[in-house]
Amino acid sequence: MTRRATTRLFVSLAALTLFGATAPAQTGKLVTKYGWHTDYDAARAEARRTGKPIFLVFRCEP
Amino acid sequence: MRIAGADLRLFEFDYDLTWYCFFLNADETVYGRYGGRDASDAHARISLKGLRYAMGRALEAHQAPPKPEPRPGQPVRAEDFAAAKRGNGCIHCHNVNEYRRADLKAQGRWDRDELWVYPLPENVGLTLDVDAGDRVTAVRPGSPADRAGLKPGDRLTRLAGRPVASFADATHALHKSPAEGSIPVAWERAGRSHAAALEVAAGWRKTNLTWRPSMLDLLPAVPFSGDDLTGEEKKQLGLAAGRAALRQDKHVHSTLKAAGVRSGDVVIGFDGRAVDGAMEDLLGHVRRNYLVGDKITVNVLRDGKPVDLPLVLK
Repeated sequence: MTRRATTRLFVSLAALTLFGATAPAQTGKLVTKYGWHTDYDAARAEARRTGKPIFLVFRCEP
Repeated sequence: MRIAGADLRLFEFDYDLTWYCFFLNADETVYGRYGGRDASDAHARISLKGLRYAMGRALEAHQAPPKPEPRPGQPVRAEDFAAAKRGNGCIHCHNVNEYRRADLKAQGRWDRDELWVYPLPENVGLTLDVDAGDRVTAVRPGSPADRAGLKPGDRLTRLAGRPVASFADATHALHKSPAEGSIPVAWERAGRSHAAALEVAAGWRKTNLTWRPSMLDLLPAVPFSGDDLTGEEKKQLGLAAGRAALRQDKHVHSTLKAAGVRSGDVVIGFDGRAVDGAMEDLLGHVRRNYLVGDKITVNVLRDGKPVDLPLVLK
């Protein structure tokens, strides 16, 4: 995949991070700063509006 | 959104992992997955190249998305397990496995085979490229993959009916496969499509569980202490040079003492099975192959003579 395609790829995915054990308010500030959603329904709505797929990450402390 | 609240019928993954991702569309059609590990290293099965490769394949799938799989019935959530209600409300991903196991045990429906989640591709004889998760890099001779006709360089297209672009996709497909029987597999080689079945026998799902946080309470302690025998000591006892053997020191754990183990005993195996390597290989064999509550026989040499000691693992 070319770097240009990769950039398009990064822009084109609505991203959602789900944290297993982090305080939601602090998590929300950190992740939205970098363009991630923290609300699954909101991410789905944006994906539907833009026609883009979702890159959804589960991150959980052991 | 946390793992609590997630519909586990959709977000079904290896819950012992600390990082895992899904590629899906707004209709909840899952294009693929990325993540995973094995007992050797948390990063052995993932790479940025591999993630990029899987992302590219997801974007390809997004051009002509299949319909989402139906999910009849009610959502399944981590907090709905009966065992979850006894917790403190903080639910980690690995708790899903623990709650499920606790509920099955309470219902009398837990089977030891439930432990063998997310089998590795190597269990069917396949080694996949970390940087391109559908590429076969090796096929173990005599394995189900070998007998099905797969070869290094092949590109998996579907496994157990599911598309494959990553280690996560492959292990999820194997997770959903039967404990024995046939697993459909399709691949491409030199522009041609092939299909066959992986014929797997009972026990194929068995994998090293020692890294899994949800199973730590199931893995036995092996409280032997001492030193590896030297090469000369092994020779005097008629043991092969490469065989693992440890001499129990004077600190005999109470569990071992109750089983009859004595200071000076030379531990040479368990249940009649010898292990190659060193002491950690010998004791690791127990942790990888037995569970708490299992009854095993400790094979020792005492004053040069074989003695078998029954031990219940704790």
